[in-house]
Amino acid sequence: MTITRFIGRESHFRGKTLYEIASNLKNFGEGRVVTRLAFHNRYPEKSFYRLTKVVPNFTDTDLRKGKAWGEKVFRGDNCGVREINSGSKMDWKLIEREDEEEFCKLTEKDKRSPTIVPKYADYPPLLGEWLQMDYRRTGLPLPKPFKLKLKIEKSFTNKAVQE
Amino acid sequence: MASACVRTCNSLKSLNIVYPLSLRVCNSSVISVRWRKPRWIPKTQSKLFYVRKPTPRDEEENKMLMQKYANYRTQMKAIRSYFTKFVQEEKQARKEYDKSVGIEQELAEVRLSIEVNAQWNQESANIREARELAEAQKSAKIKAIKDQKQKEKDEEQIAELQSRIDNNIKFSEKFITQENMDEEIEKVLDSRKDFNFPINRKGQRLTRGKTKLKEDISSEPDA
Repeated sequence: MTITRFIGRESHFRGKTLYEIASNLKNFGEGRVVTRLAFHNRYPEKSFYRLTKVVPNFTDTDLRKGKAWGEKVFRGDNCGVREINSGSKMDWKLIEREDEEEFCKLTEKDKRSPTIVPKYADYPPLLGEWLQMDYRRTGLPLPKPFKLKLKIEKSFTNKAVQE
Repeated sequence: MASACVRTCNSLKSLNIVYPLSLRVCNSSVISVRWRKPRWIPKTQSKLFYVRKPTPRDEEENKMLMQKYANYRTQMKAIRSYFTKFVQEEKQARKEYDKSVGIEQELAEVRLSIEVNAQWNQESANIREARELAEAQKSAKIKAIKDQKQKEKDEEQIAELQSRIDNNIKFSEKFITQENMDEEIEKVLDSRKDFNFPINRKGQRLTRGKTKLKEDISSEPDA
């Protein structure tokens, strides 16, 4: 009897690639709901894709290559139809037809609340002191508020609100 | 290297300075054994299937740290963008200043500075020339004295040599030549030389029969 022993660090990925799943389905899984283990591990809210188009590359024997598009629901927000870039990751999971309706139901709990971020921050002490001196030297009035303006990057992954 | 680090640590300790962690772990008891093995030597048998377990993280602490790190990055980004804006504004102001009055004023300043520089150069040139003239005069004087001395020395030498030549010429009159050879031979044959005589310690000749003994000297009556 042969004994199989796995060597090395434990993998984060449990599952199949998106193209592996899609190639077993009718119309390459058009209209089906898939999700990733990474979404589940990272965020408490729901995230999934409803596939619109999948083009697996069958020249690749591992089925890690191809192209895919789908309607993205990320942390409870619908982001519209987007190209899926992480189809090659081996942590995709297919949601069964029976469970789809229940899985895709978004309640108030499943939506993430926006993080509130301040608009301004205090200057670093030395810089602030130096700036004040500079303003005094030039005779210009101090701007109000005399604080550092924070810039927040706004994208579909970052929904911070500045107050 | 390690000893140097330890020395710095000790010196920092004595100053009561809070030094960074990287210096704190540097002591003589910690010796790095990395790169001890060549690359072609395989892993040891006991460590072949060993996989390090990931360091356990406190979830709450991790969340807090991530939040803090995000805040830090936001603030750093803000500071950086502030500085870039500041620099751009400065550049713009500089450009505008150059366009309006800056270049003219600067050129005038440059011209003035060139003038002042030329004046300074002239002053230093005057000083230098005076110094060089004095130095040349001094060196000429020294050279003249030296030449005089050398001349005197040469003349002395020439005179000495001349005297030697004269002596030799005078002596050459006594030389035996082809003409007077027979005469000289005759003269030598005629003359008699007697070298059978005593000398004293100083090499002086004592004439025969005239030597005085001590007793004779003492017995002699006073003149």
